[in-house]
Amino acid sequence: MNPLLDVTDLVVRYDDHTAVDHVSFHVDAGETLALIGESGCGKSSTALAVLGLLRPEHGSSVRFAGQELTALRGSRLRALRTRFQPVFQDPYASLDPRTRIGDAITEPLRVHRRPVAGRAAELMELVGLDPAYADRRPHELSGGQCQRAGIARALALEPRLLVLDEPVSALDPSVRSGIVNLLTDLQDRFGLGYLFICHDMALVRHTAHRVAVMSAGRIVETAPVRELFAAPREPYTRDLLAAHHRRPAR
Amino acid sequence: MKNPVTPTPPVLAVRDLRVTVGAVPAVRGVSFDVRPGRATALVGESGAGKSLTAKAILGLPPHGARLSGSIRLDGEEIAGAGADVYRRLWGRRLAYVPQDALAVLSPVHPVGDQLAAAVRSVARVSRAEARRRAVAALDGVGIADAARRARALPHEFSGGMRQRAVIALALINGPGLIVADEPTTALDPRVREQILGVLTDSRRATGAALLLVTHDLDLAAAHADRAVVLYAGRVTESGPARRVFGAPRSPYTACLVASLPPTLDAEPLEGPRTPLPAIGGGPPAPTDLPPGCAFAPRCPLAAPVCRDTEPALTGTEDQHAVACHRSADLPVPATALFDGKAVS
Repeated sequence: MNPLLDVTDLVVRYDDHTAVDHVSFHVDAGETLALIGESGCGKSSTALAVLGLLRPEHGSSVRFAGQELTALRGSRLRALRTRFQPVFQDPYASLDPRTRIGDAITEPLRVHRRPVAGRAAELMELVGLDPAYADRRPHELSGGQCQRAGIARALALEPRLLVLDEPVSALDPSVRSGIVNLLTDLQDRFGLGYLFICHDMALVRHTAHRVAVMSAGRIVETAPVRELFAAPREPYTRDLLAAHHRRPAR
Repeated sequence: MKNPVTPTPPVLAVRDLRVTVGAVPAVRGVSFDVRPGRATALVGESGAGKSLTAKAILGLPPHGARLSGSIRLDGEEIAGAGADVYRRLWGRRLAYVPQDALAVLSPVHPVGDQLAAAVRSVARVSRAEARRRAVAALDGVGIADAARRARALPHEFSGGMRQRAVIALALINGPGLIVADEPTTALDPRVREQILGVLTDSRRATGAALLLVTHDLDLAAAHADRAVVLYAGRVTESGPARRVFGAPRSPYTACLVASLPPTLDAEPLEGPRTPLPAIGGGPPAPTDLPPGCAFAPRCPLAAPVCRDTEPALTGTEDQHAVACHRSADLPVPATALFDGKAVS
């Protein structure tokens, strides 16, 4: 069976700078692949290319459920794009401040001419957001509630893969674990694949199935999560993991 | 624990600080000390009042803010003092490391010139001597080839190097207290650790105390001697950082600590992706505070008294203090309240 997402020899260039240099990885249904590495290593450029928001160089392949994304244009590309959706870091910045939450959540449905009736409440309940908030605007919600709305919006078109770019790092600590639990729960219920970009190694160890380590545009190591944290093979990975904090014993 | 040694007077003493912005009581009676040469973390979520507290100390409250209470720097009252007073304090007694290095570095002057100008703003020394001290300061924060790098403009530095330069600028005149407001949030974890290491080392070398404002518990636990945890504009818990984060006594701190995934040096949670302890709701908006304890609506231990009356901060042994009506009924450590269950 094809993996949900299969990326082969992905190359992204900005003028003469190669941000992503022949990167290959896959994500299966129901699986979280964490992409880790320092700022500027090419994680976000990889994510943008996977989302079709940035055109990779000729020769790159991004296959979604067997379909080559880089070869598609126009309506066929738009149709395929409904199957994978982004969740961004800053929940306030990713929602239009003037649009009511219920409308923001169902906007992807209207764009793709799908039925909207009753869907806002259904999606809000799915992410643990009181449907009574449908008439509110983003600034009237807490950061955690806004991120739940962002996740509900990402789920509106019933995608199979979510690209999560630091989805909890901008949230207040006391609401972070609730969002982490929600994402884990949604994955288990719907078999979603997650491409998870994250700086927080403790969170990666807690949520990911496999980890790909990026450095200077290349993936230097990919391993199951236990293996990577127990015995990182690459010196770069060891350095990256050594930077984590220790917490006083409880 | 008995402590027969009389503590040295604090470099900073904040007492019952209140900051009201417009009609919003954002800081509501905050008290804490920073001891000479020690690092105190001021921890809280958005809206908890940590940045406003720091800005009040730095004499930079937002326009229209009203201050009351006391802020003493080396015993001198500076709450609400004007620019003339602060001009005298900057550099030698008080310094600031902001979140964004570009906010304090001029983009058009070489980094070394900016450091040398800071030296000459407080000391009558020759240009050559100021220059020598600037290069030494850059060297001291681990900038390689400092004499050459001193001639570079800020944009020619990486983000981590710029933050090092700002630390050098803050330390160059030997201040007694450095206030750092989320100094590393824009940096990635590896650079963050390096920068905080530099800040700690150079601070120890000059004897400066640090007030570290952050929302990052792990950062506070790793880099501070003492911690002051704010919630909704008040201190909910304060004490030695190891105790506050290792054995918290307020339900709020306990919920924060319990909800973090285990660090890499600890065993992972049992089973694949066990749900993390979580509490419902979010921190209250300062415009919409509940009566009584601000955490009561989210607290699994809340009793009627918690919903009616705000608890006072009560000290216990070894200067660990907590503001909680139910502190006597809490399990020790209080994280047991949340361990292994998702309260929502």
